[in-house]
Amino acid sequence: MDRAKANFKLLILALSDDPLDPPGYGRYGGAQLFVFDLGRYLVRVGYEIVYISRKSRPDKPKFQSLGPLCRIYRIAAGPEEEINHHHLFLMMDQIHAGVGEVLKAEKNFDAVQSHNWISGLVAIETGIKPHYHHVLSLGRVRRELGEEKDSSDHFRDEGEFKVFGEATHLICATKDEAVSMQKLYPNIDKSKVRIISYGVDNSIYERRPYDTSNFIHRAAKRIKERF
Amino acid sequence: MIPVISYIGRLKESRKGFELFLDSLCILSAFRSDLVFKARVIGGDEEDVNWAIASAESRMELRDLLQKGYIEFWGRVENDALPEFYSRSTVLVVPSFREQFGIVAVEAMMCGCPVIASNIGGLRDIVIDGITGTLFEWGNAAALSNVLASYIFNPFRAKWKGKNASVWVKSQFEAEKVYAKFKSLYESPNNSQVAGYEDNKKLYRKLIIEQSIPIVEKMLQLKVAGFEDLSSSPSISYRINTYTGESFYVKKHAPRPTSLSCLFPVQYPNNGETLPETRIKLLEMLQATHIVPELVASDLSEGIIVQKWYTAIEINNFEVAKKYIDIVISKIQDIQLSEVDENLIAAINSKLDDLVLTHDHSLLLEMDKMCSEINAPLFSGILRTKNVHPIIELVRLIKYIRVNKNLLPTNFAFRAESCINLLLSLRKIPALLPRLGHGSMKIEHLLRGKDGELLVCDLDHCGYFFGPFDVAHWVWTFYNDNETPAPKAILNAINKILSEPREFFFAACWVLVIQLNRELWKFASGKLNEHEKTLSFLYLFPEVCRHYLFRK
Repeated sequence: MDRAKANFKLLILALSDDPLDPPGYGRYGGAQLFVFDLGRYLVRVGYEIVYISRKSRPDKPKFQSLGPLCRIYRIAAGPEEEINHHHLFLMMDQIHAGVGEVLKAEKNFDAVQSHNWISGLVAIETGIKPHYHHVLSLGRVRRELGEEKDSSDHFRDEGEFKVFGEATHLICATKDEAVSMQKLYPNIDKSKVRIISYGVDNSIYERRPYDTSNFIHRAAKRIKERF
Repeated sequence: MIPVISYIGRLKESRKGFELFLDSLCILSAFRSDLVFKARVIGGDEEDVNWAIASAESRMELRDLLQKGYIEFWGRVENDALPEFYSRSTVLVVPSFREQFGIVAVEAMMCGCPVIASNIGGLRDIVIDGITGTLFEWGNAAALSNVLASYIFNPFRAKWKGKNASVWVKSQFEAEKVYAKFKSLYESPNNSQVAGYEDNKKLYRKLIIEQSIPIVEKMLQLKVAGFEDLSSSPSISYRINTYTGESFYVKKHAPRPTSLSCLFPVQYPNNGETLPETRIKLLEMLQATHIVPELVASDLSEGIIVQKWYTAIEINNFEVAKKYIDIVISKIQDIQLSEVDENLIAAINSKLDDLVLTHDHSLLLEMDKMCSEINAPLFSGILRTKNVHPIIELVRLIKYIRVNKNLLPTNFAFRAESCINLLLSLRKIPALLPRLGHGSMKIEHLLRGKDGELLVCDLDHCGYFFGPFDVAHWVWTFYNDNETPAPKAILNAINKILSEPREFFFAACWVLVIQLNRELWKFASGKLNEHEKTLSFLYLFPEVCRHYLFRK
């Protein structure tokens, strides 16, 4: 049954990808940008978004309200610094406890969306359904490409297996990812797989006038973006 | 304007391939010092940038470029400023070893900047190889260098792909459309579509066709009921059915560079582009010959032609194909489109020996100019460098292979040079008269008219050629689809068609030119390790050639 309604409340678990981290620094890139942009769009169309991420720097607040329809909670799990995010599996107890605390304050979610296998495992524990899992890279692809082994590989594989089995929908960003997933994880229910790419805002990303003398056009463009 | 190659992304994370990017610049700097370019590196904090500069400085081949300021390190820039960088880049390089998506590729393409990316992961879904950018062999710096060289060499390549890229990503990755899909999934999970896996090239062509159909409807004053994509080259062609029950063939020409102009020096300002209006005008000229399908409507500004639809002739048998193609080739040769200046022909024939002996660059350009003048009346008076004489092309190829031998697979370079030398040394080069040829003859271009007459499509590639180019082309196409290299089958078939020794010699030269051009284009498209078939061809070619040429 269709369930369109006002203020659809969505929990976005992005434990390894804080939406407010700036892409272009350190390991922050497209994944952070995507989590941020998705939330921004959904808030604009009337969704209520609750992000849960990890406190990965001492100066990051534990809680931030980003307007009436959007909040971010950063739970304490491991050191307050950037760590290999696949190693978060070593801190699952802290993560579950932290998420449990948030869920005491935030209730009545219509759905949960998880990013990365660790967030996927946490999403399963929340019991919220439907569970949309955004695949966000695959451990077996990494191994197929011959990348260096990591101590998390075995746990990741088990974790991915569990998440792919239990999530209601599996979202891949590209056809290539969907094909790899079905090839390398052959037991996946294909009917659960959806392909939705990342999006790019074409009001910002469009060809700018090359001519440096065209100052007005360029400046006006920036003014438009700011407001 | 100096071409700018940009890298935008994380620097120290090895899977992003920044060091591979530097390696490819090293190769270019060391072996193609004739190419002038700037590299721009964006991303990273102060520590990352210092590390990246040290990494570049540790490469001897890059020191000169760094000292001249030809490699810039900008560090992280705000997202709002990125479009300014993309818009000022000739091309963006995404050399990742592993990439789930590759958002910078989409951002760049939205700004009309084509992308050269590793043939890996999600990049394969974002970049349409050969249309919106180029996918090079994963982890292969030499392959990336080859691609970069061709983009630097001919900026039209980037310009054309940049336009395509912008159209493509706006249709697929525009944020509002993408996030609306999430909304739809959350609200109607059971109604959302399961993953579809259509080929991106097909999707792109469909997009262009759908965009052009309203223009075609206006041209014909008819409503289109459906279409079928018939494209076999980057120029999009399709058949439409109208609600009145009629069928038409539509071709949409776009200004795009010739592959020749992306590899070799060309000397005319507009040479990089095949201009749609000249092709359409040529087709209009050819209407009087009654060998091309009837032109119903054309739009010069949109580059669209509409012709009557005829049924293609399906032939799998060589002897039958030969019979039909012989007829078409003779018909084309008999067409009088323009007077060919005899003095030019005499001058070209008289200078061939000198060219073969000296490989002199200015002489090559002089002969190119004369060849262009012969063909200019077909292209609205515009001079374009084009394949016209096989000996000139062989000299051009050997010069290219020598200059680029460090960028090409060693076995290929030696073998190709040896095959060219063999042909250039086998006999004194005979003088010939140029004849009008189709320029891309193959069986698929033959059509049967309503009264049973033979017609040929895609004749807008035509031009004057020395020697039997069309015979060489169609026979090469006929046999080259096989899995195994087929120089014996090709030359044997040509021998059956052309008994005259000089004609056979020129056809053999054209076959080698076609094979090598195709292979060099593959290298320039980042496919450096897919040359086994051509290598076998080049090993067999001299023996077969000697067999037929000495016997004659």
